[in-house]
Amino acid sequence: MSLPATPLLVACHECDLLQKARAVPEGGTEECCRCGAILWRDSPHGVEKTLALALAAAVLFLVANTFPIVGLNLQGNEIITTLPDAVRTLWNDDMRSLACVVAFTTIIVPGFEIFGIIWLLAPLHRGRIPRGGAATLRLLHTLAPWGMVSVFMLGVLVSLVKLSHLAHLEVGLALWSFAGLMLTMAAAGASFNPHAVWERLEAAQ
Amino acid sequence: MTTATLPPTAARAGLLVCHTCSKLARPAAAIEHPVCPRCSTPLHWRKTDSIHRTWALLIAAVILYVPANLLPVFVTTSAFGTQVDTIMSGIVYLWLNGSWPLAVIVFVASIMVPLAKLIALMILLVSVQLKARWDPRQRTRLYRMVEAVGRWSMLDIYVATLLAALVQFQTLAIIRPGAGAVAFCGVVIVTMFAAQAFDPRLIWDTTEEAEQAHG
Repeated sequence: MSLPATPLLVACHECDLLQKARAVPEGGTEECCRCGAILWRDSPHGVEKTLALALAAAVLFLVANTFPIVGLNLQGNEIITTLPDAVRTLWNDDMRSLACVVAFTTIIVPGFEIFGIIWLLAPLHRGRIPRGGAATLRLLHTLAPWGMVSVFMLGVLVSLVKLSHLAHLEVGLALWSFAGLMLTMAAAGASFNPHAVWERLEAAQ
Repeated sequence: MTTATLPPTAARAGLLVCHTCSKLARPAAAIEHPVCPRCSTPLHWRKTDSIHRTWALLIAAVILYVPANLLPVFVTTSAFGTQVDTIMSGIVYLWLNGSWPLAVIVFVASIMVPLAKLIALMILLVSVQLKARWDPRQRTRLYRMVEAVGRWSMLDIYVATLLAALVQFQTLAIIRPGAGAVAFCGVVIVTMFAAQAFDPRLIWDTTEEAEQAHG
């Protein structure tokens, strides 16, 4: 029993079923006929859409990490914090492992995701092949579960409610940027089609 | 049931599927550690030692789960003395202060999700080890959910980070994260690795095996 390894066959990652690749309607998804896992997605103008969203996310990312998230005013004392400040406080509090995890999941991985996608798609958009494309795409795949901007955003909201009992709060520019960052990154993730990029990288080899 | 009627899988066709880029490759018999011809990811028929690795990480997570829930996550020092809060007492505080929707969110993210993940992974492991025939589609769906919700448990870690950064009023009140936060962070990370170590294809392999044995 042998089958040719042609591009027309695909195997499901979750149940290993070998099946013929079927044409997907524009913007649709193809599911495994045995276990229902998503095999691939069609995203029309995927490169252009993802690139535009990633560029927007890059601006929001820079603002979100340099401006204060929130300021706290208690009896005339005011404390404001940015995300890097909060990480530094953890580090100085001898919570270095936590500081590393927070920095990794909210700054390093999301930053790499945004700039990695731009690094890949900007040359592809102009019909060129990005340098180190395969390594970048592989790393994007490995790091994907560890980017947690949306969870952090929810954490900010919970903190705000907790602190609102304590003191007067002033919402900073970075809070809105984080909200925007969460939305643009989710939209970029939805329109990004790594299969199509792999095929273009392979064709160029 | 004979081999001929078994559903065609990549493994049975002698093909390896790449985890990273989904390319199908036919490895040469002589190569001991094949890699994907397109993206150089190491290829395996099934994830290496999936059952043992998942169990090991799961047991580590269960052990960490105890200090994560018993040790303080926040330590508040104020003019009135020192107050320690565990995850659960933080939720009770939110509930009593009238923010019950938030109390529910934090309860789901910090207590229910980690516990449900641990139980779900154990059910999946045991069902594979016992070669259970229980609906493989449902079990695969359960696995997919475990993978998707795991990250949301980091919620309390971010709350601790922000509170510690903001409540730094030397004479009035200072909040510092406690050892419970480190253990809790450990639970989240270790269970995420456990979920990655499990290979859902084993659910289908063992179901096929069991069905063949029972005719």
